[in-house]
Amino acid sequence: MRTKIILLTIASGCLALLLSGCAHLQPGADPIVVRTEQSLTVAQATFDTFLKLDNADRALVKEKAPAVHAFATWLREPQPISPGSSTIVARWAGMIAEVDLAKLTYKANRSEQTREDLEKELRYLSDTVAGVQDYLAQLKTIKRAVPVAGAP
Amino acid sequence: MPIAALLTYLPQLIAAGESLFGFVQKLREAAQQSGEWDPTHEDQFQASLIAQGQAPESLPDKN
Repeated sequence: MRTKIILLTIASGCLALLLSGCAHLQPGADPIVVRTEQSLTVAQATFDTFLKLDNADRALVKEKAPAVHAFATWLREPQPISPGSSTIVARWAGMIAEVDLAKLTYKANRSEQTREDLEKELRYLSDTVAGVQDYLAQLKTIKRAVPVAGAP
Repeated sequence: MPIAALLTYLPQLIAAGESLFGFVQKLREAAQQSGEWDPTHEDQFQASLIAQGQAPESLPDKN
């Protein structure tokens, strides 16, 4: 359990490194598409880390930080991966799929409307990821405050 | 597949999901700079997203 928490903490550190490596833009690249790819990668890794940490001891998180667990529960709510699809996934995966779809639609038809749709989806995803990052900080504090069995 | 067999192979299934995620992340590195990647990689991305979106940590609480 303790090893798992340490590994997940290292993973979130790697996420910060990933963010710092996002400044490159190749000549001719469409900035909004590159930004979307970066946001998708960061979002997928952030949701994964957050849900794994909460999942390591859901009962404890629910007791010590109900708001954090409630947010994780909201992210886990099952929904179709895209409207009308029979593939059911957690809400967070559906959100990422929505942004990816908006990106593909924009790439197929680069109009003002598809760009606005993509920006809107990106804003929603970024706001959610920002919320997760706040809760992630709270989660790490809770985990550190819990004494490890057998520790002096 | 019987549940017992599924549970036996669960660690391997989880490991396969993790390695698929790592593989897709590697593919995405190029897209982080150009915004372009092979359309077949898009399918792999979708597959990894579904696997993660249905993984134990993404499932709702058991009541």
